[in-house]
Amino acid sequence: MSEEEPGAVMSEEENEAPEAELWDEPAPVEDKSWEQKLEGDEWINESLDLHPTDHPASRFLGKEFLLWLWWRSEKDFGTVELGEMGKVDYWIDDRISFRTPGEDPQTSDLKGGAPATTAEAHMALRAGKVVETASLGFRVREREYMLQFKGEGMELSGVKVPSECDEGVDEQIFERMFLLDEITAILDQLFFRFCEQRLEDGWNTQVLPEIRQWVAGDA
Amino acid sequence: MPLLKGAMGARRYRVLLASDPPDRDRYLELLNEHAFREPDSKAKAGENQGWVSLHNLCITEFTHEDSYYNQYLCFALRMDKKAIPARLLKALLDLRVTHWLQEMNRERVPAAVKRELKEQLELELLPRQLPSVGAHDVCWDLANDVVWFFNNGNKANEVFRTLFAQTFNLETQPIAALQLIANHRKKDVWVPRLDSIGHADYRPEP
Repeated sequence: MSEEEPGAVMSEEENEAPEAELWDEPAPVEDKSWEQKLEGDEWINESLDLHPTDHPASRFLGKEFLLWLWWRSEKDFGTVELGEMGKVDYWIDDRISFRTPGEDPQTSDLKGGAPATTAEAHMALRAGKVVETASLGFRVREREYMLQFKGEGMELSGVKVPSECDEGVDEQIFERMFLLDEITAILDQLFFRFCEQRLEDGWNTQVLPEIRQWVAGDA
Repeated sequence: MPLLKGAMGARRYRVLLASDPPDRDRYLELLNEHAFREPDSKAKAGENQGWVSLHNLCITEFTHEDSYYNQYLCFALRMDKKAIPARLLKALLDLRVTHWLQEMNRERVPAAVKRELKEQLELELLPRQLPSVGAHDVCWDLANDVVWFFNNGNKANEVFRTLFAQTFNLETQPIAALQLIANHRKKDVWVPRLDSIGHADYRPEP
C-alpha cells in the first residue's frame, strides 16, 4: 500500500466512483490547461488562486491533517512548541466523526467523554474510514479554545474563545478578533508542520508507516 | 451576533486588493450604495439581500462610529426570503379549484385557469407574509487584507462573495489548505508535490 495509490474523493458529491477505484487508482487529474498557460513560479500561485477548490488535493488534505493532528496529539502527549506562540496543548475533545469513501458511505459519530481514545475510534481507522470532523481543544498561555474542525475546507464552527470583555463594542470586537486570529494562527502553524511531513521526503518511508503502526495499535 | 457574543462559525477570505490603498470614506459610501433595501412590492416573493449595520439589521446607514473599530470594518449581510409555505398554498389552491369546478359546473380545471388561480392566491397571501430574515456578521481586517464572514453555509458564502465583489470591486479568495500552501515560503517544494499525491491509505498492512 503506497501513499500514491488512491485518488480518494471523500465528499458526498464527489464519491461517484466505486470504493475500489478510490483506493487503488491514481488521483484523477482534471483540466490542467491553466498550468500550461503560466510559466515558471508564477503558475504556482496563480493556478491555486484561480482554482482553489479544483485541485484534487483540496478534497483530502484537510482530512489528512485532522488525522495527523490526532496522531501527533497522542504521540507528543498533546503538546507542541510553536515558535513565538510558545507551548500549545491540544487534544481531540468530545466528538469525532468518520466516514467511508465510496458511493454508499458508512458514517460513525463518536460523542462524549474522550472518543478518540476508544477502541471504536481506532477500529474505524482500521476499517478505512476517514476522519471528517472533530471537536478540538487548545490551550495557549492559559487561554483555552474549543472548536469544531471540518477536514474538508478546513472549516471552523462552534469556536469558543476565552473572551472576558463584556462592555464596549470596540473592546469586544478587538478582543474577539484577536482571539480568533490567535486560534487560526495556531491551526495554520500546525498545518504547516503537517505539510513539512506530508509534502516532503520521508513521508512514505518514515511517517506513514509510523501512523499505520499507531492505527494498528502497535505504537 | 457571533462577532460580539457566543460561539463563532466563520470562513475567512483574503481580499485581493487593487493597487489603490484602502479608502475608509469610500468603503462607507459603497456600503451605503449597496445597503439592504425593502422590495418595491410587498406581493413579491423571492430573495433579497444587502448590507446592514452590525448592531441592528434594520439600520442601513453606515457611519464611521458604528462601522470602524480600529483596523476592522464591521457590518452584516442581511438575507431575506419570502415564500408562502408550499403545503398551505397547495391546500388553499385545492379549495379554490373545487370552488371553480362547482361554479362552472365542470369536471376538470384547465391548466391556464389553475395557474391563474394560483397567481391570484399568491397575490393575496404574499403581502400578509413576513419574510424569513437572516443577518450574518462581516469583519474586514483592513490591516491584513482578510475578511471574516460569520456563517458556514455554502449559499450564504456565495451570496457574500458576490455582493462583496459587486460592492467594493474586490475579489475574495478562500483561505484553506491550498491557499496556505501557495503562500508559504516552501511553496516551490510543496505545490509541485501536490500534483503527485493522492489520499494516503492509513490502514495497517495486512
